[in-house]
Amino acid sequence: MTGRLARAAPYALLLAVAGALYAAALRIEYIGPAERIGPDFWPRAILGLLAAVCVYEIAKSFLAAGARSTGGMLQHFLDQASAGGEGEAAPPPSFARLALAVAATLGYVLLVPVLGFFLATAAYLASFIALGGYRRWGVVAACALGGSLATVVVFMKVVYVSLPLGMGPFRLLSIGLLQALGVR
Amino acid sequence: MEVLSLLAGGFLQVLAPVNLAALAAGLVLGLLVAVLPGLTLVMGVVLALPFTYTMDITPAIILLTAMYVTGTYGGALTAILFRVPGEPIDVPLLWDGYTMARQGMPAKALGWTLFAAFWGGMLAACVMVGFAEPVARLALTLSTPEYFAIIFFGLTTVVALGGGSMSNALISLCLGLLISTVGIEATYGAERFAFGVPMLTDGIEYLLVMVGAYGIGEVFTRLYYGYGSASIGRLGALRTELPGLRELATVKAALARSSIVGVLVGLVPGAGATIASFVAYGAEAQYGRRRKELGTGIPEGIVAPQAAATSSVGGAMIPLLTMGIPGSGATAIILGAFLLHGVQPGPQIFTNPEQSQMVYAVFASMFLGVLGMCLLGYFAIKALVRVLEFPEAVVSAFVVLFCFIGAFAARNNLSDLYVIAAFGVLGFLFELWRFPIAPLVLGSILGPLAETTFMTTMISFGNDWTVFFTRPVAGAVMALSVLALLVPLLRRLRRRRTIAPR
Repeated sequence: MTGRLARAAPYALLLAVAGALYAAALRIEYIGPAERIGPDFWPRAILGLLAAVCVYEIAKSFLAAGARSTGGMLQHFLDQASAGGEGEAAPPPSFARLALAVAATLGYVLLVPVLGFFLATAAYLASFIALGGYRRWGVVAACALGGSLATVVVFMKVVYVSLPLGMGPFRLLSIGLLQALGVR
Repeated sequence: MEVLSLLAGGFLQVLAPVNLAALAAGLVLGLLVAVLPGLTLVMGVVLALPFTYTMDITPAIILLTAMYVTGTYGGALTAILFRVPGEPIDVPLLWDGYTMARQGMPAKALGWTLFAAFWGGMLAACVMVGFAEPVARLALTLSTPEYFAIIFFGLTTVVALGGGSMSNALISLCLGLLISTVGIEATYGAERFAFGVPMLTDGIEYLLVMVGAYGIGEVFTRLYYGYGSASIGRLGALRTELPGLRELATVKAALARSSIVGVLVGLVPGAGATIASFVAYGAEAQYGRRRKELGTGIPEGIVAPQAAATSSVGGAMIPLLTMGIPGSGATAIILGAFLLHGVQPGPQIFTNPEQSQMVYAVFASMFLGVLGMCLLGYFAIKALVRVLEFPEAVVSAFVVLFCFIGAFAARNNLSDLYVIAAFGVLGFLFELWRFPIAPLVLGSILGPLAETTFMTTMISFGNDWTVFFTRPVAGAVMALSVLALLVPLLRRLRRRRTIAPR
C-alpha cells in the first residue's frame, strides 16, 4: 500500500495544482466579444488534459499497480541499453548532499545582490566543489577565486554584462577590484 | 544557380577573421562539451549563449551552430574508447563501437564514426542549402491552421518518440505549455497566473526554463547520485584508422538509410539527434543486411547512429530558419540568439537580402565546420579524451555558475536567478520521478506560438475547430500527429497479444 501511495503521490500533487490553477483560470479578467473564446480557454484546456492524465495515473497506481506504462517509441531501445550494461557499482544517492547544494544555490541567489558577484561567486564555487566531494583544498581555492575573477573580467570587460556589485562595504570592495582590473 | 552564388558569398563571409574565429571556437567548445559526460550538447549551447550577446549576429549563429554539429560527434570518442557516452546520442555507439574497440580495433571503430560524422554533416549542410529556400517559399503560402498543425505535430512527437512513460511525457508537456501561459496574454492583454507578483507578470522566458531544468537540474541530479570518476590511464598509440573505399562500399546502404532517417527525424519538431541516433540503429536492426550481427561490433552499428545524429542537424535547422519553429533544445537556443539580435527567423528571412546572406554564411560555415570537426577529431583525439580527467565536481560548479550568468545576462534581471534555481529543483524532481524534461522545455518554447496560432485561427474562422482537419495540409499534419500518438499504443497492444498465447 505504501508503494502505491508513493507512486500516486506526484500525480496527486499535480492534480491538486491543476485544480487550483483551473480555479484561478476561471477568474481571468478580460474585455472581448462574448462570441469569441477568451484568454482562459487555452490554459483551461491544458489544465483539463493535465488533470485527466493525473487521474488516470492515480487510478492505475491503485487498480493496476503492476501494469507498465505505455512507453514512447524509444522505450524498446532504452530497455536494450540498460539490459546491455555491465552493472558498474554506483554510489548510494545522497539526499543530504543535494539538500546542501540546493541551500547553497538559494544562498547564492540571495547573497549576490548583497556581497556582489565576485565574493558571492567565489564562496559558491568553493562550496559547490567541496559538496561534489573534491578535497584538494588548494585547487578548490584556486578554482573559486580564479574562476570568479576570470568570470568578472570576461563578462564585465569583454562581453559587457553588468554583474551585481553588492551593497555597502562589499560594493566598495567590488568597485576597487574592478578598478584594479581596469574595468570602467 | 542563384543558391550557389549566395553560397559562394556565404563562404566569402565565413572566411572573415571574426567569423572564422567564431567557427573555430564553436568547434572546440562543441567537442569539449560533447566529451564531458556531465555536460550535454544542449547545456553547452546554453552556456555559450551569453558570450554571443555582444557579437554580430553572423558569428554568433556560426558559433552556436558549430557547437550543435560537433556536439553530435565528440561523445562518440569516449563512448567507443571508454564506454563513457558523452551524450545520450552516443548510447547506441556502445553496442557496436565499444564492442569493436574491445575486439582490439579501437582505431577502426574511431575511423568508422569519423567517416559517418563527416558524411552526415556534409549531407546536413547540403540539405540545408538545397531545401531551406523552397521550404521557406512553401511556408509563405501557409496560414495559421497549418502553422498550428505543424506545432501540434511537434508537441505530439515529443510525447510519442521519447523513452519512458507517455503519460509522464504528456504531463511534462502540459506543464511546459502552462508555464508559457504565465504573464500577459498576447491576444487580449489579460494577465494570467501572475498572482500579483511582478516577476510573473513579465512572463517566464523559455531560456530560463531551459537553463534551469536542463543545466542546473542535471547538475543537481548528478550530485544526488554522486559524480563518477573516469580514469583513462595511459592512452598509448591512440589513433584513427579511416575505412578504405572497399570497406565503405559494404556499408553504403546503412549510410544512405541512416542519413535519410537523420534528416527526416531532424525535420520533425520535437525530435532531435538522440532520437535520430536510436531510430537509425533500430532501422538497421530491422532492415540491415547484417541485422543479426548487430551488437557484435560491426561497422553498420557504428555508422548508422552517428550518420543519423549528425545529419539530423540539417533537418532540425530547416523548420527553425524557414518557419521560426525550433524543433529541439539546441535550435531553441539558436532561435533565442536570433531574437536577441533582433532577427525573427521565418520565411521572410530569405526575402531580405542582408538576412539571406547571413543565412548562407551559416550554411557555408556548416561545410567548413564539418571539415574542421573531422580534422580535430583525427588529429586532436588524445587531447580531447584527456578532458575526461577534469574533476566533475569542478566542471559542475562552473556549469551552474554559467547557467546563472546566462540567465542574468539575458535581461539583467536578478529575479531571473530565482526562476532558474526553481526550475533547477523542478528538473531534479522530474529526473527523480521519471518525468522527461524535453517535453517541458519544448512546451514552454512552442507554447506561445501554439496558442497564438490557435487563437488567431479560432478568431479568423469563427471558432470553427474543424478547419484544422478540413484544410488539406493542416489535416494531413494533424493525421500524422494522431498516428504518432497511436503507434506506441498499437505496439503495446500487439506486444500484449504476442505474449498472451504463451
